[in-house]
Amino acid sequence: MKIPLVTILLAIPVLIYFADANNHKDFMKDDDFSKNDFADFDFDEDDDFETDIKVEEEKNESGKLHSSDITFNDDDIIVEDSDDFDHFDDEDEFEGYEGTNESPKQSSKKNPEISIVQLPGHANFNYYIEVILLMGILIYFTNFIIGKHKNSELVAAWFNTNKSLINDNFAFVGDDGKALTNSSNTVTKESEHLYTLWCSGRTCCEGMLVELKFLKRQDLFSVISNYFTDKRDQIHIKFSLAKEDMDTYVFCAAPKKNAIKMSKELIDLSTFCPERRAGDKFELPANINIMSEINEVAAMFMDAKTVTAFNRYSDLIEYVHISDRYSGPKSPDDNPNKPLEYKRMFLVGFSIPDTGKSNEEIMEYMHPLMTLVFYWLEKIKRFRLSKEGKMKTDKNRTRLEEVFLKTTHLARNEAAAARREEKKRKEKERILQVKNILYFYILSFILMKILNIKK
Amino acid sequence: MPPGHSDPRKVEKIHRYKPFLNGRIAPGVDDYAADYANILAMLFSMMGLMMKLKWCSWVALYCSSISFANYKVNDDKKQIFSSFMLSFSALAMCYIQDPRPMNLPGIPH
Repeated sequence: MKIPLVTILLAIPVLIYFADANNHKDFMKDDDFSKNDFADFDFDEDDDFETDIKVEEEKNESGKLHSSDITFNDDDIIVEDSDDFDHFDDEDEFEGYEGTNESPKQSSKKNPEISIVQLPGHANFNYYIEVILLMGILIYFTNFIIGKHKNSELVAAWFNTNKSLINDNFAFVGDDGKALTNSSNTVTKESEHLYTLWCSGRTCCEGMLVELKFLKRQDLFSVISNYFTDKRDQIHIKFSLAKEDMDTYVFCAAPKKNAIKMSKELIDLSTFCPERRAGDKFELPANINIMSEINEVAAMFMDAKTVTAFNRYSDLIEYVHISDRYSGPKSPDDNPNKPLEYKRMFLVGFSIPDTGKSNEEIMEYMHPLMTLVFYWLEKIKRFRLSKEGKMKTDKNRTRLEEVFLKTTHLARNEAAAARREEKKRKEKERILQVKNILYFYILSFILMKILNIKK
Repeated sequence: MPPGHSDPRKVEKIHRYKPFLNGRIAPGVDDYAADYANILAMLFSMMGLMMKLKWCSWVALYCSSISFANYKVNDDKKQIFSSFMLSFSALAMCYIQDPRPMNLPGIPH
């Protein structure tokens, strides 16, 4: 649907350009006619002079080329004409000729006068690039309206499908910044391709933030780039958990491609779950990887219902991430000497399939996944680590804190040493200054003495 | 609500929305397309105005359009407006001073 539309829209400026080029060609044809008229003028002389003129023409071939150029300039034409007639006016050219005394100038007067067509002033003003650029702007804004509409339709379809499920689970749906007594019950627009929904007032969590991250359909350049990349609309669900809502562990299950990216980017995964394992052990699809701090968490999470869902929606599940130390992706602005802020979170990511079905059908197809999210949330709330597991995870966290303290202690020592060095350097500089002043006074005193002795 | 299930909704557990981790993972925090396009629009507009380069003014207009398409609701709309005004004025100034059609850079007349 999109490709023909874009092709047609792109074809319009090209057609305009060719139409413009054809007009230009027509104009050039007229110009040829004028050249032929001019040529007629040369050959419509008296028969008696025909041979002489031909000789002259052969001699002045380059002169003829001039005559083709002059069609664009009136002044040049007059000059060239006067040159031709000079030959005929020259009596030496017709020595011994016994023909009629009628001069060629007189004979030429019989011929019809040459009418020089005035060229239109705007002939060289072809604004075809400007027309193409304006058409581009027009296409861009047309695409903006269409893309914006498509994204808002997707949001409406998602919300209408899951509205009852969300209202059954949360006492407060949609935060519009107004009083808590009335939930807005609407999705918040962050930009034309990003919508959010905050829900709160439920057991097992402090709140749920749903991010509907669609393709940038409103931006034509992004639409073009999306054809060459495998990007899809995404739904990110982020649960903020309280301390009592989950135990201390980190777990993640994701397709291999996402798992590699996440283990590199996310601080908690790279710290607590550096090892990636294939999901074959739990009868998961081959492309699913599991990163778990404690094996018992993976065993708890991957029950029959979850495994079935993973097998059925393997192409739609982007990641399932549970962490008590979630601090987001690594950032170059992070201060290594400052402890990072972290939070207990449960994050799930789905991609919306790009099939030929209607938006409502797609959202209905994905609805079981939304139900599964609440099932997982309840599961996380109920699950508690075994004694050994708890000891192991606590040990991991203690070790991490010790490493952090050690590195910060080292950094603090280095900073204190640098400060001491700076203090010493300043003291030395001060002593040097005092010394210099003393030397100056002593020298001046000695000089005074010498001068007094000489006197 | 399925029968046999207790109602999970708790009014006393309602929390207002606050960006997680002080906005470190806020929605759309890593999307800089609008900001980059805005800066480029300003730069090309200034080039178009000062150096009388028509193609720069056109690029500025396109950058302003990209900035407009990618803007966030919480962004300052004055910036988008000013980048559009600047690119339009650059175009107007270029064509008022020299109404001849544009030559593409690197392509002879």
